[in-house]
Amino acid sequence: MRAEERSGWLLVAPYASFLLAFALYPIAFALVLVFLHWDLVTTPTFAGVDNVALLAQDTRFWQSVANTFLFLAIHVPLQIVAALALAVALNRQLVFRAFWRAAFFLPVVISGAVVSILWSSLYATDVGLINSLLVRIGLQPVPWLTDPLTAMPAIAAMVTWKNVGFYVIIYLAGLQYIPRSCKEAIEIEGATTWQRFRFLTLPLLLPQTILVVTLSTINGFQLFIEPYVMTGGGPLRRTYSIVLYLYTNAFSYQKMGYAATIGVALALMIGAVILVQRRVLGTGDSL
Amino acid sequence: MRVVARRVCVALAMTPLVYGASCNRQPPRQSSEGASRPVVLSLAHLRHLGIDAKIGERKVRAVSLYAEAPDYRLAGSPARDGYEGVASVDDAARAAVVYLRAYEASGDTRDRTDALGLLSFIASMQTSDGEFVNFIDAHGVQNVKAPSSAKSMSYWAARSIWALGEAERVLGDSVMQQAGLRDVFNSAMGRMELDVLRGQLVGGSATATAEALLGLLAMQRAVPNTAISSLAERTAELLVVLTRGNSATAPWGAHLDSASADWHAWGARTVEALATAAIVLARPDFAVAARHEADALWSRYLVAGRVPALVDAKGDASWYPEIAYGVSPIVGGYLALAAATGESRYAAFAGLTGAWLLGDNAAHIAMYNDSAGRTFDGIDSDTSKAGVKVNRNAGAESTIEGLLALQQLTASPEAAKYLRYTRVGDASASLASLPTAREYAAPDGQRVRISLSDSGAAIHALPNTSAPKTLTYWPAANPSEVRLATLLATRWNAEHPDVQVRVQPLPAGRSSEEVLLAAIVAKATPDVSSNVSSALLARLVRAGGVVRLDDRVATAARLRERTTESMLASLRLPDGGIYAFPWKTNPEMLMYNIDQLKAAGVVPPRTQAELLDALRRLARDTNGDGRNDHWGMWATLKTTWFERFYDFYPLYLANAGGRTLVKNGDVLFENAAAEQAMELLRHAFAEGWLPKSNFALGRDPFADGTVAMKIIGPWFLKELNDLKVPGLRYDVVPVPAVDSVAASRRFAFADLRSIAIFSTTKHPDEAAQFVAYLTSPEADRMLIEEASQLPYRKALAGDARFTRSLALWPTLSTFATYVERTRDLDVDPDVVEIFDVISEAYERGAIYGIVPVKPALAKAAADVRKIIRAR
Amino acid sequence: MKTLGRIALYSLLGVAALTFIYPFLWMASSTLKPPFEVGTLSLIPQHATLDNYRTMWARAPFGRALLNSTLVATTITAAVLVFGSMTAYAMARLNFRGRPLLNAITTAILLVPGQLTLIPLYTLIVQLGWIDTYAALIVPYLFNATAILMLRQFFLQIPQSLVDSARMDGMSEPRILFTIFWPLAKPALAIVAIFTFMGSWNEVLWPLLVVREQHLMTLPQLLTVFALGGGAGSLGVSLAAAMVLVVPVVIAYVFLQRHFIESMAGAGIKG
Repeated sequence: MRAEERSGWLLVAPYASFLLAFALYPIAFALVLVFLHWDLVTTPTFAGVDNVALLAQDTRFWQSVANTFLFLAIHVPLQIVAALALAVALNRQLVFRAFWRAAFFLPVVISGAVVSILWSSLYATDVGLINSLLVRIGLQPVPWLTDPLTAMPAIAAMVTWKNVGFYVIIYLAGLQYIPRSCKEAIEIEGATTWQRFRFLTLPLLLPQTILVVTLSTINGFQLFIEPYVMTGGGPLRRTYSIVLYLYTNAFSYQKMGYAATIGVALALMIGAVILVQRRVLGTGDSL
Repeated sequence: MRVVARRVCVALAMTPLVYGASCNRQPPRQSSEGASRPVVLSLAHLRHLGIDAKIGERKVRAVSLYAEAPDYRLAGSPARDGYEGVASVDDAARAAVVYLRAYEASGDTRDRTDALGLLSFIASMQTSDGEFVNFIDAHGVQNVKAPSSAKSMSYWAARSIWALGEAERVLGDSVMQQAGLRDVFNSAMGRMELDVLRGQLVGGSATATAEALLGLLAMQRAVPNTAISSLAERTAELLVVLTRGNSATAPWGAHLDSASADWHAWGARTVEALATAAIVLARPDFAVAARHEADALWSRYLVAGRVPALVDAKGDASWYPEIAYGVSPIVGGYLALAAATGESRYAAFAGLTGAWLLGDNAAHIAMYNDSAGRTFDGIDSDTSKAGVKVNRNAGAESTIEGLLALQQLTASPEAAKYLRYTRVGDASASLASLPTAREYAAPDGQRVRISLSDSGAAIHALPNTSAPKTLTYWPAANPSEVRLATLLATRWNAEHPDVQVRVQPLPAGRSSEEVLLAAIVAKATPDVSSNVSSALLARLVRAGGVVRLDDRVATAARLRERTTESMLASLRLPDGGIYAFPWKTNPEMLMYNIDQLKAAGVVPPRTQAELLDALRRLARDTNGDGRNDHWGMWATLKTTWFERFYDFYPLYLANAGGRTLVKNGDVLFENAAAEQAMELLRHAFAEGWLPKSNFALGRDPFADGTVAMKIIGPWFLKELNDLKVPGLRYDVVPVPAVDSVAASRRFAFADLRSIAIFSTTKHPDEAAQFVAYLTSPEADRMLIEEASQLPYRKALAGDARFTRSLALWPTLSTFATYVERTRDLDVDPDVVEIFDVISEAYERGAIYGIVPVKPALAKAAADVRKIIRAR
Repeated sequence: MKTLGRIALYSLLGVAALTFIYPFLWMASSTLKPPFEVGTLSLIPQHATLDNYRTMWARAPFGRALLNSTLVATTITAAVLVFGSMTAYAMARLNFRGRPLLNAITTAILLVPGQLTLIPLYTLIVQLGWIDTYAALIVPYLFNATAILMLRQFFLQIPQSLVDSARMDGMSEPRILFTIFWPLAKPALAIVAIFTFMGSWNEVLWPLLVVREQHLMTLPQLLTVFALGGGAGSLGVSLAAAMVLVVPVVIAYVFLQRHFIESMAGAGIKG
């Protein structure tokens, strides 16, 4: 065990020292900020628990929390289902498999800002592509991004679309670790495609699913650029995400202390949600 | 002519003389801090000289001829002059010019009152044939006998024309008409025309003719018309031919009354008049004529190290007396040449010449005292003591001419820089045999060398012993501003080898604020940045993060040159200081698509009722699917704070009669003006006259014809030009206000952008010079041409120097008329948050109409008060 | 039945793929449109022009920036693969004191929004004197918590028997990592490589903060600073810039994907 201990430390030593400088210092800095008033320009002043007290009763903040949870509730399940379905489909023997895989990956490599510009055109009420299709089949146009009820779901759908290619490759990589012998075994037993998926593929992909859930939850909590570009947080603040609120406080209102408080609250929230997810998915060690 | 000159000389001879320093004594060293302080203009002594007079039944103001040291008691003309009188039109006219220019800069009504009182005096001295009498005695009786006073079309008449022209330019035509002064001008001009059309100089003198011409040109600037411009052209042509000699031959291009006449420094305003004529009449050939005298003759003064009193036709100079009246016309001439030719060396020469007032003279003392506003009457040679004597009296002429020169010098950064330079070594004794070059030194040891060349004098900064300094400059990163910044920095670097500027563009858009804030935190700010938002600026100032600009020579001068006091008032901080240089502005107007409005039979709306009606009529369904697809205007549904610049805020400002959102911690928008603006938007949204839609990003619905109107600033003109939309014709009108608001009380919204010098700079004075460079007329022209944006500059729309540049962009000259009639964002540290709150009210009250307008605004007001209380 | 299923599968994939490819095509075609046409949803430019690319090149000659970006992104990617897999291996397969803590911190880092740590991190770089150096661009990215967690997740799936037998043969831990784990984890490494390269390649804000000298600017930074102006007239140029950024990543992806598929064909792991 001594050897393993030593190799372990040797291998993680660079990482640990990196963490100290580039991660823990900024995080500690942020934690200190929670107790300060600071506009980035003048000298900070001690705030005690002002920021925390303000956070507790700031309806704008809690609305952004509710908005973000709504986003996650739509985005995370949708993301898993879409990624899994596409991955299973793409894992078959397909002609032009490289093409298909590249196709679904394309939105991932295009910058979020460009994608947001495109989708704001697609979603536009009176001139957008989606609505012109709806009108063509005889429906009323939907003010996707300007109706308080549809704006956040519309953004969630778009983010899911953009990221699915990335999660597809995670699942594809996972699918390769399913030993052929298992597949052959279950095929001999005469299982249907669905049964094979339900009882073999899905359980074996659990580690990937956990990864996808974790990453999409974390990324979802950090929703920022899409509402920033597409809606600015509206309508009626319904797409104001937590990070957008944090950003606005930090860089527009220059309330660094309060922004840090929001940031710490956000980190605690993400941590809590992930713990709950872990409990539900039932694995202790994963992260 | 002789009469006037004598007056100066006699005054000098007759009054008690106080002995000055000897010629060879070194001037006392000033502390570098004092030296970098801008010269303060004080009208105190001129006011002290002011006297009430009664001419007939008319109460007027006049200026006492003399004030004698040491207590500066007022005095009239001495017996030696035949008791000319106590006050003259000569002095009153020029004092009026001083007051008018002071009023133009400060907006101080005292100055206006004084000017009008003096003009009233001038009017009462006019005779029915348009000529003037010069002197009055203590009882207000005109002196019609003395040759220096009798009714004539001569010096005092010429100066009256000058003063009246300036008055028209500064006060405007309606004030002049009301005071009956326009008639006085017209009658004088009519009399002058008789002489000029006969090819005669006014009063037989180039000096008088030049001063009268300056009056005509000021009038032409104010109310252009062909009668004035053709007379001005004829007058200028009379002056052009008076030049004698050339760069090699005496009298070196001087404009002389006749071939045998002397050149005299007092009143040598021919160069100023011709150079100004070149600008106003768009006749570059007049500038060429103006250059003759400046390049050949005046260049010799710079190398000689002093300005002579007289130069005879053979080129022999008489050096004494040295008087303000001999310096001021040359200063004015150089500065007018700098404006006409765009060559900054002339401004530098003006500064070096004007340095006479601050110590670069034979006595090595400051002739102008800037706490009292006095200018001493002169310096003469003292044959008995082999030195010079200083006449410390401060009469009207010296005081006025000192102020006239300094008013101009302190409004030119290039000139003001040299005001405290002094010549190195002894002055030359002859103009004919000069050294090849002369050096001048600043109190901090910097030196420049003036050398003679065929194209006049050249100025070179002597290499500094210290290492070259580097300034970093962060402009905004939109392509046209980067190009502008790079161009200006390249030019600057070529002209200033000692101070090199590095351009590092700030990123455009949202990253800009992050980069700047991070730099501030890390104390890694640049020396200069022209992309500082007003909200951030408010904080920076509070934290001492930026340098004060109105007490540095270069920026103080540029502020004087570019702005009026009323344009600066809202930018002053509680300590009275200006901490960010107001650079460019974007006054918003209502832009409309000419063809769409015509097709719909809608006239461009003037009131908000008409605007609502236009919105109603322009919302229409063109493809017959039952839904509107074209609208009058688009008010974005986005709530990002600055989106309100294009809908609610300009409509509110149009109604609000000058009020903004907050002031000194008070909420100003909880009122009818805001309610009416919001109600208009609510109504239009509720009826579907405004689209409840966000259009595709990066595509402008006005440009593509989806909407017919747009509230927007001039920067958009460049964008429209880049878009090259086929067949789009547009024009602009002021943003409509509710009917009850008078046109004169309507303000446009304009986003003022400033240039700041950060306190982290090691070279604040060099940075200030660079800022002055970035805001020079030349740079401002480039700003207009490159970016279709407007410099924050007084009287921009009527300024001949910018006419061509403004005309490059359709409608830009209309935008330019609004530069001084704007309201900006409040300089409040929480202005962004306040706008976000307004946006919420707009969303709830107008777009979605879930709350009536009044409570929506009331809630916004309450939220804003909470924000203000929390800090 | 089987053919029917195939047809259904292909048409479904086809429709789905179309919605994924469309934006790319839209972007590509928009870069060829003149300003007043940009932003329309049609894929065929009515008045095709190369002006957007010309404008971009004229404003921001990006030869040097391309080099900088390539240098920075490949260095970071290599470092993340080597250091990240070392760390992930230790965290997945070795028992040492502090491992749970390291795990927790690594996750915690992911939870902290970047907007919050931006300014402290920047002040750190200023204090280190790294402004206007490659170090400022590279060093803060040498490790990547997401990459470590991803690799760790995949390393956990590799059978312990392989490790045990390798140890039995006297292999050192690094050798086990690089000769046994790496070949087996090719797909995972490919994902991490793509992910890291892409992230570094597209990063704009950080370079904007730490680099002010043009010769050190990365490609997206240079384009942001010089080519993009904001406003309606510049959308075409913005998209052209995005295009220039996307193409290398797509090429990198296609290249890495082949590795990925080859390793799949081997179906590496025997149960």
